[in-house]
Amino acid sequence: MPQDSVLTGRLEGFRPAELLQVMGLNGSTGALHLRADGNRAGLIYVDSGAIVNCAEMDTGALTLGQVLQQLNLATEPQLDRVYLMQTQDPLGKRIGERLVDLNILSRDQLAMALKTQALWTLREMALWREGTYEFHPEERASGGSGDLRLSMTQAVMEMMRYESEWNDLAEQLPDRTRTHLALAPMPPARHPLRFPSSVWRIVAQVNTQQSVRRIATAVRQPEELVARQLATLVRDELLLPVGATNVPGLPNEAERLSMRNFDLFSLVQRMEQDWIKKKTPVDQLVALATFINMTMRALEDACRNQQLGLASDTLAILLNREQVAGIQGYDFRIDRNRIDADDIATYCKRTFDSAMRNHPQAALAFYRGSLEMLLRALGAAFEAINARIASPRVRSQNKEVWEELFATFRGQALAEE
Amino acid sequence: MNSFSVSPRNPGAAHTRPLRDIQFDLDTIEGKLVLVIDDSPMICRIVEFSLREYGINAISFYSGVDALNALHDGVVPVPDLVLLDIKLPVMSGYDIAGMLTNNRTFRRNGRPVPIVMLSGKDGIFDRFRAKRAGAEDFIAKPFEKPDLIRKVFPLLDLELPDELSATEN
Repeated sequence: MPQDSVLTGRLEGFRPAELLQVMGLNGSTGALHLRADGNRAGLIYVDSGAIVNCAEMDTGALTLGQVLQQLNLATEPQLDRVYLMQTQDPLGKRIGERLVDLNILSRDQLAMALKTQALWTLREMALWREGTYEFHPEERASGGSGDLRLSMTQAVMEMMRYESEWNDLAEQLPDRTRTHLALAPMPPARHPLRFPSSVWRIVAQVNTQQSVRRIATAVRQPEELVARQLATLVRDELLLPVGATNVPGLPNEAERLSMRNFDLFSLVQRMEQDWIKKKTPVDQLVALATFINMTMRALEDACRNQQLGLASDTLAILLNREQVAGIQGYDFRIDRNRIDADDIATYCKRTFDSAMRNHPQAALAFYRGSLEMLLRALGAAFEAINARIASPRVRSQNKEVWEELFATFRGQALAEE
Repeated sequence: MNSFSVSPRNPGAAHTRPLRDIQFDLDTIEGKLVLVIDDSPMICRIVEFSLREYGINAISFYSGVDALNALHDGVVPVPDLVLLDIKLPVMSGYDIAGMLTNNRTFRRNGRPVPIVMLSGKDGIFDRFRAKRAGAEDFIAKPFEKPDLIRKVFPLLDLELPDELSATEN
């Protein structure tokens, strides 16, 4: 990433919606890092002027589970069941995929919910008026980000509409959807205290759920709609906004599944040290298979430390997702998250030696093709771990580091000349 | 962004990445500066990222000769610390350490700049040779981030962060 083209500034000068508008018009590709004064951070990835991913990075961020409940597409017990499955298999299927497998959601409903989550997250960021922004051209979302693609016009219009909506509500709900509320100790005597049943359902959740977002999730209604009703109740002095803080990090459910403490830097150093000792093409190919196994072993340890299980078919699922079944007519033998490296060694030696005897060029082609497939497999394991790391900065550093390692493995350069 | 790298890995190591652009305004360096010399771009990145997390600037070179030239020509300022790989192309880390320690211009506040050797080997022989070449300390690869910080901070006259000093023996 060319560092001189990083665009930085303060949100007081350009609002998030304005920044995105410019990026849409320019057809930009890259990552917009936002930091609001008051400890909130967000990241928006754009690709050729369209939004392809966005996230807020703290414990109060909007989750897919909350969106599904607010859209009345899934219930809390259904989501609890899926979270439980996730703790048994954190790198396997994603929550949305599991809900589809369980026939709770259709694929179209999942796509719509993900789009809604992105749009609602964006419009929240539209309200950040103080803070900083940095646009990093060419920085891309890590793998597994899905195929979301939001039109910039749609996103910007929604952000502007939402800004205007909150001009009216901000006085009653100063922390917007994160505003915490409590029932007023003494309702005003003049109030008749007569409400429609829909409002009673909301009021009944105030003391247990507290925040606007959580109340909306509990009553299974969109948070903007619930916010309007809650603002009216605050205006009528029946509810009071109370202080609450969000801390940097992941939403609570996601925190349990995060790979925050996975030490990728030590792992890749061990791989590089091992690699230096491998002198023959076959030894190098087998080493790559053992690196995949090393990664899975390190991952099992990391999961164990967080009281998470790792399903025994995790590696098979990852490779299947990446469409890496094997190398050049040979299918990997995988058992309990380990590739059979001895079997690969036998296959590679036989194929390579035979090719060397007849067509040395074919041997080179076999080596290069196999190397690329094994690197794809190793990269898939790294990507899966990286996707569970909350900090975009750490994710991007990890990726840069393993790409340097892969460049070493490729003996690289050749392609660059 | 407070780090950059300025030379390719030795072509003999079958690794010839193009030069990373120097986009770092040396006049704006504030705080401590560490010079990293290692022919593995991956190790350079790991050290840069690890130090940056603690607010320390890092400049990486993939060859000792390029680092010496850059120091000699004033392309980079005299750093507060050098992290130096032993196994380097053309001139070994021991040779580079000797040249740095014997160079009178390579001083920081009148004192020789401390050198910490990096090595894939962790034998007594390497440690001894590193000491003789003028190195203050030795870090065996692979290293973990906390170990790196624990070695580097005292040599930069910095107090260890709480989370690392708590587990220090």
